[in-house]
Amino acid sequence: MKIDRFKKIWEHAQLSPHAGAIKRPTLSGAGENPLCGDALRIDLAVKNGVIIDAKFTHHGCALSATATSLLLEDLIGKRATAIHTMDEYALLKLIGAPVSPARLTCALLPLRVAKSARPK
Amino acid sequence: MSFDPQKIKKDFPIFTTHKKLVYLDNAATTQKPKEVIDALTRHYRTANANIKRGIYGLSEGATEAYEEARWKVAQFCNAPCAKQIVFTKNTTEAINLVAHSFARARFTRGDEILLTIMEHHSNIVPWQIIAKEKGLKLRFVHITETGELDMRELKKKVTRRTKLFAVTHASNVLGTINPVKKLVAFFHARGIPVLVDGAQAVGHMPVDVDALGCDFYVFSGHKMFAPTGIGALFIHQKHLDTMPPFLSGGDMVLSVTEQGATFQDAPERFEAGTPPIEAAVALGAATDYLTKLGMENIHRHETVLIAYALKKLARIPGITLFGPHSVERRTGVIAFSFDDIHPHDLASLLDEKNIAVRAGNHCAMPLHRSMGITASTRASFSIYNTKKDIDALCAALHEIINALHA
Repeated sequence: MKIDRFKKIWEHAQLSPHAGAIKRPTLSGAGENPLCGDALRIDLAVKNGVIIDAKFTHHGCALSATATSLLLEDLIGKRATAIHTMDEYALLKLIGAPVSPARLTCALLPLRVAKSARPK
Repeated sequence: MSFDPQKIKKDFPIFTTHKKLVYLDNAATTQKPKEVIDALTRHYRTANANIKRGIYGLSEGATEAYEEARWKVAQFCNAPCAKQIVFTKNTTEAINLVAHSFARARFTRGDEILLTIMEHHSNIVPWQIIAKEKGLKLRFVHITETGELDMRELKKKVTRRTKLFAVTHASNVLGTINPVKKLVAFFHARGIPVLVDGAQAVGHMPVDVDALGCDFYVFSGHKMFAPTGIGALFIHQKHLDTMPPFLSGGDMVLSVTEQGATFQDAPERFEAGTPPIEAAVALGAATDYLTKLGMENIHRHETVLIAYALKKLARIPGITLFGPHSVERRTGVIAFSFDDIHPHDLASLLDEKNIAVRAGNHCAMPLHRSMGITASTRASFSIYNTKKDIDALCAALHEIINALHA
């Protein structure tokens, strides 16, 4: 990944408006990439079947943090069922930068975690 | 002979294919010299046949080449006898062999295996499996702030139930060279056998298993310029005839009936099925290559590189370096981290500059956890690396840090 492109991702990860936690989430999921240490939790607030807010807490690489932020940005305003119909290609399209095979586990972690979200 | 890494680099065709490659991931696997590649292809072109069973010249020649490779490996690590060298797939399989043969047969519920926190997963997980099966306890010796074994804790962790000490010769993360000879003497004085994981040592320094006195010494071919799929286990003579088989099947038997079998002596007893013959032959060629360069020369070269790298990397703002400060006690491996750049991101950015490093936990999760981190970036050197490669790494790191913080 080129440094300029990465810098955008890195800054996005640091400044994401979706960083944090929801006090009483409707749905919540957590997951990790144990081999590299990425750890992620996603909280979703759902009203009448629609995602009205989404937050994440994250420890790990900038790519997985930014991918999470972009995913949540996309999901807010959509029906909660949209999470389960969303595929990996859609998330990679949101990221918009080429992701090498070795980094796919980083980039796709948020989708895995979002799909695992359960009522709290 | 004089040791010239620039000239040595010309022996490695990968650097002709990838002219700009700065390869600093030698702890993961080394590149292969022409001598080894030629030995591999020559075997296929001129000597390929299955070994030991064919009653024809080509098969007998292949058997001879395979056994000559065993003899070369024995010579290389100074095993008293070639029969004490068992060919395995790699270090991992060699440790599994000892766990499932030696430990399973001898250890009983409540016995303890002493490990160190700096072990690679390959020297932890096989013991966990056998411990679960047999009701054994695993204990761990931790490290000091400078990444060396805490000898005071080690002495406290030895009990009457300690039945094995398994330790790496050199850490794949910290670069720490453990005082194996002293450790073997300490444990043998208490009647405790010692297994040494030499994966990060054999291609980097002289190794003399006879002088070390250990019970088992294991290593992988691919980390010492040979192909993947071949490794070796040295077994001390005193255990050679008492260990039961690990993997079973063809080649390792004397006779088979419907209900049972009798087994060959070592090393054949532990080499079930057709082995990677050509890889063994190429491993023999790799030992020739290393012997020609001189293991003392290689160790000296890597010591110069690590001293230079420690000095240069320490100047990079925000970097944390891991491992011993003293270059005498470390191999050419250096792991580092930055507070605000994840190792995976850093490795991707270095890749843009054709610099290959490793990022992650390097199959040493317990070690990383004990250091309070989840991952690190690792540069590891070999015979074809020069100070220029370290300069390239440091310049790239400076550039990345400056760009991100501009």
